Amino acid sequence: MKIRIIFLVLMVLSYCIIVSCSEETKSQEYNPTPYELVLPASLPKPKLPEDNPLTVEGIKLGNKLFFDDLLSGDNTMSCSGCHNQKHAFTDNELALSLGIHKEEGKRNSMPIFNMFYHNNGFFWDGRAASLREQSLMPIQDPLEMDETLENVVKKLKATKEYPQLFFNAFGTTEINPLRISLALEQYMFTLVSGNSKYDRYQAGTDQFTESEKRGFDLFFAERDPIPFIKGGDCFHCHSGPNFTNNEYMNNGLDEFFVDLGLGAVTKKASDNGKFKVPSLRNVQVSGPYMHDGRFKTLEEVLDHYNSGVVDSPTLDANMHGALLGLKLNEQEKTDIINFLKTLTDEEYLTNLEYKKNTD
Amino acid sequence: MKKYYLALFLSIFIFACSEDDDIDIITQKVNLNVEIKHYFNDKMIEFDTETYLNEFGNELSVSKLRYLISDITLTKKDGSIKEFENQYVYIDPSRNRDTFTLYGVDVGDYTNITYNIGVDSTTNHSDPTLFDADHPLSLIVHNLHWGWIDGYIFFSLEGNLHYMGNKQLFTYHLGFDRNLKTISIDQNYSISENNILSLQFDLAKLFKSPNLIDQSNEAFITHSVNDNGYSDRLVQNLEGAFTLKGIIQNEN
Ligand code: HEC
Ligand code: HEC
Repeated sequence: MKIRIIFLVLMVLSYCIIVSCSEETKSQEYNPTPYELVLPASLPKPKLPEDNPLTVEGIKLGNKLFFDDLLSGDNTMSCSGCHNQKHAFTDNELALSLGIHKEEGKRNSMPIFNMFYHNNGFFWDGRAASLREQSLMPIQDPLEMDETLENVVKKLKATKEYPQLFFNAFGTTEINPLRISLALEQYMFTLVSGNSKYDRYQAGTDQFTESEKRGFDLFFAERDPIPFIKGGDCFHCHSGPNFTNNEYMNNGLDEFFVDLGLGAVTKKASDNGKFKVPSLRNVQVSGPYMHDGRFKTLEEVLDHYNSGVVDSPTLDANMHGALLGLKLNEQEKTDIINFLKTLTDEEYLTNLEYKKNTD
Repeated sequence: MKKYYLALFLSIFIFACSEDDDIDIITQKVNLNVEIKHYFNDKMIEFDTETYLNEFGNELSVSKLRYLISDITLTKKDGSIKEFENQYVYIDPSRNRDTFTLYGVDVGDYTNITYNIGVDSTTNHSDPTLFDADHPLSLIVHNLHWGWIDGYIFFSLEGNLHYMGNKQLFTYHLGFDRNLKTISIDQNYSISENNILSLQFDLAKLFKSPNLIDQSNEAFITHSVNDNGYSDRLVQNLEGAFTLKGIIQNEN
C-alpha cells in the first residue's frame, strides 16, 4: 500500500516536472524578432495594424505560405502562381488568371506592393476590407485555388515544419485560418516599391529625358476646355505617392457593364462599373491592363484615355475631359508612356528578400 | 502654541481645498467632438442617387463633396480664444468622414467658432509626401492636390447636371491661396462634458447667396483658373453655407 502511494506520488511529480520542463523550453524559444519596415524617403510613414506587429518569424512564415502549393485543392498552385514578382506580383501576362482547374477567372490579377497604403478595401471591387481577410479568399475561390480552410489547416498540421514555424511566429503550434492570414498579411506588407527613376528624380538624384519630362507634365496637367489646354487629368485618380487615390471609379471603359464591379458588392446602382483605381507604379511590367485585362499594351491604354472613353451613368466627373477627347498627338501619348515607365522599380522587382525563402 | 499650529494646519487645508476647486471651475478640459452634417436644403445629401433643384432651377446630383479644414478657433465669452493651430481635417461625407475631435477644450460659454476652408500658404506649398500616411493632408488619404506649385484643392464638388433627359458632368475644384476662406460663426454655445458640437453645411446655399448661380451658364469644369471668376463666386458663397446647429449631448 505504502509503496503504491509513493509510486503514485512519484509518477505525478515526474509528470509535473516533464510538463513544466517542456513548457519552459517552449516559452524560452518564443522570442520573435521585431521587423522594422524601412521605407525610402519618397514614401510616407504607413500605419500598420497594431494587432499584427511585423516580426522576422511572422514574415518568414508568410513567405513560406505565399509560395506553398499546399494551399490549393490539388496541391499544384500557390499564391505566387498568379502573383509573380517579376511582373510586380501580377500574373504572367494573362488577361484572366487560370485556377487549378485551368478555368479562367473573372478578372485580371493585381499587383502587390505598398499594401499598407490601401485604406479602402482590396480586390478590383473592394469586397475584402482588410489584407488578412483578402488573403484567405483566393484559397477558397473555386476558380482559383479551390480549397477549404479546414483542409489547409489539416495539411499544414501534418507537415514536419509548419507547427514549429507557427510557434516561432505566434507562440503556439496551433494552426488556424486567422494565423495563416496574419502571416500572409505580414509578408505582403514587406513588399515595398519606392525606388523608381521617378522617386530618384523627385529626390534630385536622377534625370528625366525631355520626353519623360513632357509626359510628367501631361500626366499632372488639367485638360482645360476654354482656352484649350492639353492635359491628361491622370493625377486626379492616380494621385499621391502611390499613384492611386484608393477609390473605386468608372474610367469610361464600357457603356454597359458585364462586370458590375463595386456595384455587385454594395448592391447600389450608383456603384456599377466602378473599379479600384490601380497604382501605376511598375505598370510597365504588370500588363495586360484593366480589371479584365482588355488592353495588352500601354499604347492601347493611352488610346482609350485619348479617344476611346464612353459615357455611362456612373462615369467619373474627372473623366469629363477624356470623354470630350484629350486630343493628344502620337508624341504626347508616347511621352506619357515614357513617364509611366519611370515608375518601374528594379529594386522591388528583383529584391531577393521577397523571393521564396529556401532555408 | 498649539492653537497656532492648529490654525496653520487648518489654513493649509482650506487653502489647498479652495485651490483645488478653482482648478476645477476654471480649467476643466474636455475633448470636444465636432460633427458636420451635409444637407441640400432640409434633406441630408444622398450621393449619386438623389437629384436636387438649386435656387436658380438647375437640377443636379452630387457624387463627391470633399474639403479641408484648418485653423479652428473657439472664442470664449470672456474674449479669450483657443486656437487649434496644427490640426487639419479632411471631410468626405460620402465615406462618412464627417467628424473630428478638438482636444483639451475648456468647459464654459463661447460666442464664436471660426475655421478656414483650405490651408495657409506655407502649408499649401510644402511637400505633401512628408506627412504620415494617415495624416489628413497626406495624399494617401485623399487626392485633393494639384502638385507642389499650385498646392491643395481646398474644396471639391463633383456631380451631374440633369436637363431634358441629358446629363452634364461638373467638376468644381476650388483652391489657390487667394481662395482660402474663413468661416466665422457668431453664436452663443456652452461646452460641457460629453458634448458634440454640431455644424451643418447646406449645399443649396452654395448656389444661392450672395451670388445666385446658374450652373448651366458657368464653367462645367473649374480648377480655379480661367473660369470668369466662377470659383471665386463659389468661394464667396461658402461662408453662408455653414451654420452652427448647436451642442448635443453624446449618448455614449
Ligand atoms: C488563380 C490566380 C490567383 C491566385 C492563386 C491568387 N491570386 Fe491574388 N488575385 C488574383 C486575381 C485575379 C485578383 C483580382 C481579383 C478580383 O478583383 O476579383 C487578385 C487579387 C489579389 C490581391 C488584391 C490586391 C489589391 O490591390 O486589392 C491580393 C493582395 C492578392 N490577390 C493576394 C493573393 C494571395 C495572398 C494569394 C494566396 C493565398 C493569392 N492572391 C492567390 C489571382 C490570384
Ligand atoms: C476618373 C479616374 C481616372 C482617371 C482620370 C485616369 N484613370 Fe487610369 N484608371 C482608373 C481606373 C478606375 C482604372 C481601372 C479600371 C478598370 O479596370 O475597370 C484605371 C486603370 C489604368 C491603367 C491600367 C492599370 C492596370 O494595372 O491595369 C493605366 C495604365 C492607367 N489607368 C493610366 C492612366 C493614365 C495615363 C491616365 C491619364 C491619361 C489615367 N489613367 C486617368 C481611373 C482613372
